[in-house]
Amino acid sequence: MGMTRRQFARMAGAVALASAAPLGFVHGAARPKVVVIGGGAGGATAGRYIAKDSKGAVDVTLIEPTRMYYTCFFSNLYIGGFRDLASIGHTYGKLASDYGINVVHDWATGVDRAGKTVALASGVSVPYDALVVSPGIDFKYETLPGYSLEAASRMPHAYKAGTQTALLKSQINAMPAGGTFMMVAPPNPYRCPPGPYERASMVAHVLKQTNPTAKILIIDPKTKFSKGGLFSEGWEKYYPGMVEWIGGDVHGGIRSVNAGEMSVETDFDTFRGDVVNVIPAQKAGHIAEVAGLTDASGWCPIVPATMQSRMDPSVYVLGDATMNGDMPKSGFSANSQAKVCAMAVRHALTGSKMFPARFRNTCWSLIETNDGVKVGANYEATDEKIASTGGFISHTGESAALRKKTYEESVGWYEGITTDMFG
Amino acid sequence: MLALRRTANAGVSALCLMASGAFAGDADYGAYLSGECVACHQKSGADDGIPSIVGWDTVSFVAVMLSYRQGGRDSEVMVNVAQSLDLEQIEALAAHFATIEHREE
Repeated sequence: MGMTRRQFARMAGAVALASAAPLGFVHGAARPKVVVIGGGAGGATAGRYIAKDSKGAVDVTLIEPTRMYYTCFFSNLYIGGFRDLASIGHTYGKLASDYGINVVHDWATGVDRAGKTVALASGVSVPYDALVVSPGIDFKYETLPGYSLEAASRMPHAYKAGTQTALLKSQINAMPAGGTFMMVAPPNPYRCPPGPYERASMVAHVLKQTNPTAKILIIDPKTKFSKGGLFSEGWEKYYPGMVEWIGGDVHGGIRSVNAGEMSVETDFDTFRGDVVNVIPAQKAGHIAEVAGLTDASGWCPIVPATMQSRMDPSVYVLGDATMNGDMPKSGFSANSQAKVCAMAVRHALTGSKMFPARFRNTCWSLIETNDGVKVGANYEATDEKIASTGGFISHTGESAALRKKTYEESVGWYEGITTDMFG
Repeated sequence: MLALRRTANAGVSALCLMASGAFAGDADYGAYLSGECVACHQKSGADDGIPSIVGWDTVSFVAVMLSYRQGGRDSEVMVNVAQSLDLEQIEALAAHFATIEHREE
């Protein structure tokens, strides 16, 4: 949306006049409107930065169905018993009270891009000047015969944190002695590349104490995986003989799952588990597709310098839902992209300064108590994609002191990013 | 923290050539760039697992960042971050974080 200097001056005047109002936030019709769909690492951060940095000059509405948001990052640590569920749950009170964001707990069901409105499940329609879409992922159930929304209650994915994670944890606790925890890992691209393997480590950490003859079997469509060398080293060191990983070149392909028999059929063999954690193939959150922001890949193409959708310059897409180039799908990435987006949205609506886009990501994973590893990189915007400009990864054979420090760093990061998201 | 400051001070003499008095970075630019820092470093100054970076004097801040940029300090994340920043950006960050008070005990 373009804005003339006069419009901007008028708006700024309105803000000044209203500064005596409670909290200093204006509730008039003159302010440009931003609607944010999704209150995760992308959406909550974008909403907060737009509200905070515009000092009330932009009207921000955040649409998020859950009143308590459980972060996917650190949900594996809950499975491992390093955190309780409450410690990864966050509410939106501060975004409303401290930043003046209109937090609406509802589902966005449609976007009228011509009329610039978002339809909610409650029947209300919300107008916008700029729309930020940060819906996370949904699953491509149809790509794995036998898996479905219904099957997910027996074979949890636990890849959207909260109830599913609690279900998976309770199933692990109820496993028979010497039983098998089986994971079906997802094909690329998917949320949190090291996530499945950190999860296997956390399950091993629990079983080592409670059920030491149990086995963990990972059936993976891929032939290699994120931080593979680091995880393999850790599994051998801490959980010898417990974790087995079968890659796509060994089993030949995952054909189907059967929730009744708790089995997974591959070209090579049919495997049975006592707990079966199926993490299916993924796509952008459904609302992105409904809004016409996805391409044939199922993800949303974006303009790297601003995070605008390539389908519509008034719409910005963040986080896991994007097909952006080199950045992995992670909470850290979404949070980073949100700040570029917030700057671009404010620039478009209020004429504020625009600086070159900068992005970065770091992903920490826990292998065993006080043994953390990490991978990270810096990124810049090119015309085609968000491009890596150099990164690093933990090394095998690092000292216990360094690994402990890396874990402690991840705990500090959790506090940092969740404060950055929710205030 | 003490060790951090000591190293910072050691770096200062090397910087005197560049520093004609205090560093005068663009705090607006710093505020934007700081978004990258506060994904990990808490703005309150809490330092559980990750050091506090608020309320530093600008000279120490710049010295530490330049030291990271040269790979002279032991943190791959921070070496990676610092190597992506030029002096103007580091000065802007220093100016920004110098204005933020430590709010946590």
